[in-house]
Amino acid sequence: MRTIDDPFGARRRRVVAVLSVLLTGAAVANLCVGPVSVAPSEVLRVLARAIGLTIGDEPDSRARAVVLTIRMPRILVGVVAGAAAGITGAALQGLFRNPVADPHLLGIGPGASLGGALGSLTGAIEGAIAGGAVGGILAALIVRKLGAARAAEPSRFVLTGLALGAAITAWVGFVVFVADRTRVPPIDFWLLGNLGASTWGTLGTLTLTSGIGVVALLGSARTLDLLSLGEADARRLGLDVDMATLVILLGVGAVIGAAVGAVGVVVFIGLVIPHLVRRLAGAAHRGVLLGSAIGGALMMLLADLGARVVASPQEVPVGLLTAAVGGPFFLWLIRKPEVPQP
Amino acid sequence: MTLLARRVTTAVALMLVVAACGDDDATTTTVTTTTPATTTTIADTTTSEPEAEGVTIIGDDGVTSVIADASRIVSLSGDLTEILFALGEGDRVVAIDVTTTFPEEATALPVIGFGQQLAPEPVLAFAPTVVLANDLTGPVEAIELLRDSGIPVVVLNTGGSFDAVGHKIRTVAEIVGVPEAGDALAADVDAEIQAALDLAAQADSEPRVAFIYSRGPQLLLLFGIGIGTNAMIEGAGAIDVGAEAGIFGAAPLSAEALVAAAPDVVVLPESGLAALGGIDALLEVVPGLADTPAGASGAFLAYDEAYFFNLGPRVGQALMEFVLDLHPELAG
Amino acid sequence: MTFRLAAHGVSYRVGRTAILHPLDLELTPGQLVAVVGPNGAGKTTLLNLLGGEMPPSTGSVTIDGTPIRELAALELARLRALLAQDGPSDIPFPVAAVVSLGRTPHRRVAGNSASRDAAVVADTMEEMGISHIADRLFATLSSGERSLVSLARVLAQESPILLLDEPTGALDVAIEERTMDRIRSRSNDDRIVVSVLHDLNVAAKYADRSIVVSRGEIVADGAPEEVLTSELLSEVYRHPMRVVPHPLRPGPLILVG
Repeated sequence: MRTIDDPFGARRRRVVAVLSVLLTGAAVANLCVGPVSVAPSEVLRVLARAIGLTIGDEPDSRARAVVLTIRMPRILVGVVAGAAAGITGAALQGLFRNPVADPHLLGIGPGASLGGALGSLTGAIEGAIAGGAVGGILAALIVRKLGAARAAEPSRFVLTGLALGAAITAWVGFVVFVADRTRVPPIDFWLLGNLGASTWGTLGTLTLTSGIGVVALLGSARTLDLLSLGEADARRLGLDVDMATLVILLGVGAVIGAAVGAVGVVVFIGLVIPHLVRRLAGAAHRGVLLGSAIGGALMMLLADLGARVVASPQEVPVGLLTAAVGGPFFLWLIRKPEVPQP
Repeated sequence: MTLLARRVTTAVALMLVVAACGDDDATTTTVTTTTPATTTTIADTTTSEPEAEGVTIIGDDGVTSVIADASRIVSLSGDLTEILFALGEGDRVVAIDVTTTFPEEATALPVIGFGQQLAPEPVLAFAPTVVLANDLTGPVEAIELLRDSGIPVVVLNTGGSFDAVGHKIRTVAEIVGVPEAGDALAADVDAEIQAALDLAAQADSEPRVAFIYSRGPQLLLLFGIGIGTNAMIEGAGAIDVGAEAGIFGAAPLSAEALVAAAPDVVVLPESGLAALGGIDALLEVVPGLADTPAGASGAFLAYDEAYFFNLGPRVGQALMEFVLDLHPELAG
Repeated sequence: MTFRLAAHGVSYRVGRTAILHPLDLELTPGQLVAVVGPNGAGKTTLLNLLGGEMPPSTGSVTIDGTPIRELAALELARLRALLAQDGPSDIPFPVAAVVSLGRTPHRRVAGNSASRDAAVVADTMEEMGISHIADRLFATLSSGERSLVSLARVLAQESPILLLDEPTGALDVAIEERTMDRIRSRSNDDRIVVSVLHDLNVAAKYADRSIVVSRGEIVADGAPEEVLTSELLSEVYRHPMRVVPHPLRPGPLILVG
């Protein structure tokens, strides 16, 4: 039903629904595909037994191991990490009114890598995830300081973020090479991402750490809509712009930080998905934030599918695929001005 | 979005699902030929009693594994692969990772990736009955996932002293059920090591040696205590400049520190030196190196990485070669 | 219920440059007040100070005796709406959504509801003549259309104080007249309406009170026919200006040159 301030409401709901269906499809594909061949009927039998139903014969223990211990947590971690990338990209683009704002371009991703690398010195993934969140938050606060210059020159803002990111990444390299190599993942993990070590424990910690942040970001939809009027008018309409910026940046830092701690930096999701969602569903943040979360999860799962299949049995870092596909796709997306006709 | 577009996307989604689940062969052809059906007999490593022929091994990571069947081995550490082949049990190896570079037959085996960035599924694709790893294999979660899937993973540290070689040889031999061959091989290698050590004792100089690890100009590390290079350098009767500087493991190379350490000889891995672009490039990249005794006299040595510091079965030969390179006067 | 928007000893300087010298001003509902003067005179600064955009260098601005700086942002937003001269042109929302954003200060206020918001938005768009472009994206509009939408948004805020900076700048003459009519009607129902206007004749036609600002000072303040004189305007604009009685209606006609 069309309400006066939301003529795209129906379209938005459809987009979210379609993305959800596609996401489910991708999850199923990832469950069924991999270097270990497990027939779809066997996947079904394993899943059924896992929830207490007995369908058909007892599945083979290797199939059980692969489906429940390896693929399921990996898919779910991918969903959370992908959603984190998507929603933080959307939030930053709305906050800074800048179409190329993305946590990895603005130095927040690299900050999370540094935090994650230091956190992984504890030897536990929980440390890496917590460290990533802390690193992400600190980097976000630095970005906030940089952001003071943004109103004047959006391109300069991004350049400054990139420089900050590059500097921080160099430090990540330093930590990686100097620290105990049995604890800190190598540099390609931080730069290109990898879902290979995802366990149920990883999933639990990741969801706990980024969960509140995601809820906070989803709740900032109205604030982001208001900020599209520009900071001055947003202020005149009663928004505490400084506080809102702080809260959103903290949320972004924690959410993407935890994801980076768990799976490394996976680029382009936060850049590509929000643009796509805005094009399809309109720019109202209620839809863009949720749609970017689902779309980000979808992109991550599809990229991971490719990562596991393209050089089978070896696995390629998932960030290579998101960059390989996301890069050209992004260039195509920004050819035309973003404003679609309803 | 129009109704038509929505129908199309839903159809695409369904096709994706059907295609993915329906046709396994398309994505797993590289693997299906080596996958046997005998997967239901993998021993549960954590709770069951050892089988009649089960071997109980406590790995260097403190984890106890029970290996009931050592017929299909995935080796994630080059030194352990070498040991298996040296014992004549190379046929058991079904897959390796990039750290295995010797012997040649081993390098022809399928590669699952890099053990230090391990993903469990590619390993499982080869239906191993036991996985051999070293202390750098990781992440730890991936090893856990393999163990949770029912595959014993035995971790044997690469080691930093010559004792490690015998330990690794004997443990691997026990795993594959040839303890006598293991003892014999270990004894041979120990003898080779001893011969080299004895020869080194006759040298009248104690050169200062620095081992610089490199994979290119961006990565230059000085190795110190705890790595096999330390054992090699000190075993060859030389002073390990890195150890002297108190470095544990690896440290980024500081040109000034290197100059202060004044090495007489600099050793590098062959591939690393090649990645740098040769001695001349090395001298350019490390300022002041040219003025050290090593730089001034051009005393640079390069060896294959695995050969030189993996502390594998060839370590005795490597040590002898190194002793003779450092002290040419001892030859014949 | 009358209330006052007042400036007491308010001045503004940036560094050592004085933009506005200390002045006092009092505004009450029921009048459309036009602020006129040449470029750089300080008109926008005066409007912004009245709206609480920045604190004055000296003095204070009060609403019913309460200094603006003591009001919370949301409270202030309910009391006053300010339409600035520029704003971003690339807002990716449809017109109706932009206008609805003006209702933000009233969200979750007792006595307000979503349907009331919707009604206010619909009525305001109708009034401004932009209902037919309700679904068009703001960024695709012409500058005149964008002006009308922004004005509608500000009017939808339904605040007792309306501060407008050049609301009709980009509008053609016909739409300008219609828009000024609507602005004027706001002043009739118990609101304080202050508008910076660059067009002296529009000011003369619609304003009940004209404040002439020149070089940081208020040089005249009163009914347009009294205040807008040839001598004053020629001096203020440093350009010959001639004021004659308007041939078609009561009030002055200002001619340039």
